[in-house]
Amino acid sequence: MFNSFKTISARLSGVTARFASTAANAAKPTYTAPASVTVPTQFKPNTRGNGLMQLISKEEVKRMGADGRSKLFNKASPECLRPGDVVLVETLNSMSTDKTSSFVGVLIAMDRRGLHSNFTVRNVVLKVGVEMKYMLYSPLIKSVRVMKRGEGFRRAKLFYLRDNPGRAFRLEGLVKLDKAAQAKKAAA
Amino acid sequence: MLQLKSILNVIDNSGAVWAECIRVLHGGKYARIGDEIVVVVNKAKANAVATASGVPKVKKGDVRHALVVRARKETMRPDGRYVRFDDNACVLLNKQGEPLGTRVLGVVSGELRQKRWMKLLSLAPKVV
Repeated sequence: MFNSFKTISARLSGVTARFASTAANAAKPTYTAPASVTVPTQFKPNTRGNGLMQLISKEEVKRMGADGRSKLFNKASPECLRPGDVVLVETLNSMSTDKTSSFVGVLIAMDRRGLHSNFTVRNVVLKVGVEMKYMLYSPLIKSVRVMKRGEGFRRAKLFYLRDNPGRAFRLEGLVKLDKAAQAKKAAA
Repeated sequence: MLQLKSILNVIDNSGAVWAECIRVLHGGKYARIGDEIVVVVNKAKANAVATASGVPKVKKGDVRHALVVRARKETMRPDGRYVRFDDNACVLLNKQGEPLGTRVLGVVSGELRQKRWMKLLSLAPKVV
């Protein structure tokens, strides 16, 4: 009775032998990609705990934040920006040049929105108030440097400074000091 | 977002102080930074004299073309940056579309970086 039962391998060998192509393929060597091609090891993204768009967003934040700019928005980090700080934002004029433009001002708003995280910097230039809203993860932002920590600002959004600036936008002295410090650094 | 009846500061040395928009030249309802508009001068400096270089004196009630150089409405740049100024400002143009004045008195937006307005940009003391 037991002799009539084929073993699994015997059954399989019978099956593979019937389909000659698979048998032939099994004998062929596996394809090896040339060195210039990166073969992905994971074909389906692991979306456990995230929706697909959330996952893409998180990956992009990780990729764009590799230079440490995420720390600027992370409250746990000592480098975190706070409303009221005087910051200098250096931006590349375009992706193809190294030329930069800079803007100094008081940080009046920070919005934490994942990849779309942004902050608003306000300054008074030639008696006209100018506000610039920067996207934190924009590749055109070269650096964001805190020139002076804000003191005495008790709000998250400092929009009241538009009407009641007080002494908040007297930044020429700071800019001069900073330039001198940078020149010293460059010379050293 | 400047439209009919919007009042703009005039920031060149043509003699005009305020101007009121009466038409947006590209045909839409709103003018943004870099758009040309037709304005009527609401207030001009009383003692503005035609300069030696030939800048004509602009009087109250004159109808001129102008270029919007600052706007209170935030303008987006290609990388998602926004710029916003505290006032609306323009610069008067002559019939050929060139700046009427010889000096620009104030900060001007970088939105004007087109071939046509390079002269204005070079006149401006500060471009943001």
